[in-house]
Amino acid sequence: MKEVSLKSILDLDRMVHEPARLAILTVLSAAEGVEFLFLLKVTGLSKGNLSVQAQRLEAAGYLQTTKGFRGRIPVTSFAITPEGKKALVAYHAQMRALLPESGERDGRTHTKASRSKNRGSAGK
Amino acid sequence: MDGERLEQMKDVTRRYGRYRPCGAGLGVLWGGLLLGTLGVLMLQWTRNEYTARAVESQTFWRFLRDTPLMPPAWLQLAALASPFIAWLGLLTIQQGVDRQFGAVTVDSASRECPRRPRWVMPSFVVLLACLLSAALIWADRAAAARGVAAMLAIAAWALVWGRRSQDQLTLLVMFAVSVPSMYLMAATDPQGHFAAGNLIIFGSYFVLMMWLLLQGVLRFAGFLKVRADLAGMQPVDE
Repeated sequence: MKEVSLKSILDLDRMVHEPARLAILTVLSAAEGVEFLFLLKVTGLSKGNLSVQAQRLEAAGYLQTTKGFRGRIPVTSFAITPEGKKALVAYHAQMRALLPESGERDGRTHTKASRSKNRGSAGK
Repeated sequence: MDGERLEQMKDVTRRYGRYRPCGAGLGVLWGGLLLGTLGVLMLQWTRNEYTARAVESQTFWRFLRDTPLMPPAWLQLAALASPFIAWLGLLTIQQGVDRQFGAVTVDSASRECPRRPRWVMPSFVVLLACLLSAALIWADRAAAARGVAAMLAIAAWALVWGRRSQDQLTLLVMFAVSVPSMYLMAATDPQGHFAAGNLIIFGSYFVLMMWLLLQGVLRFAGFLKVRADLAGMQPVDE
């Protein structure tokens, strides 16, 4: 059982697993197109980090970038690609398989923050 | 990452995309203001005509029905300009909204069936322009040129806003602004008795606009709620 879990963990798509990229893909999966500014507001990432993560996702083929202008202001829009959608669905399926009890409860997957929260509450 | 958090992000994105079009509902206020102004201008002009030309004991309504009234050039110009001004105003309001939080498009239905939801209203405007132009030419070919040109310009403009509208509310606002303007241009027939009918048409479209205003207010309220939710979002771990 443990071996299976370990293999599943190793099989996780690291491109999606990183919290910032997971957040970006999740937001994009809810819309046809999302502008940089909205992604910035909804994720709370810094401009630099958002740009870097978006570039990585684009390089992986999970995201498509469109550059345009609103009046004279340059505007960058993002859209999730079919590959990106597949990767996100597969990632959630893997996480549900890995964490069935928490997945059944509320579909949670873990981040540094939630892990430290759990550690904190266990200590108490 | 917290699944609840991800769901919240998705929900905020969807709601923002739904409430954002039509200047987050404020576009309706703009359209209503334009239609209302045009209606008031028309009413004021007819009242002035009534005061100046009505025979004694003739009621306002009887005067409008019995007297051929041609709208003055300034009113024709206002009618012709209002659909254009309405669209440019809508675009400006939308840009103002998008400048704060960016644009999100969620309307996959319009991409899946681009002709169905988007083209009903612009097509109706074009059809009406053709019918009114034909009526105007039939009545007086020599005097029809200006009215026909104006109506065809409004109809051509309907194709522009039809193509670029993102939602049904925007289409309805543009529809409610464009049609009364065309009726006003159709009143340029020197023998026509359009004034009474036009006031009724303006009134009925104003009622439509009131209903749209309600939709606009609901949309704006939803937009404010999403804005508050966005402001309260916790940042993702970097």
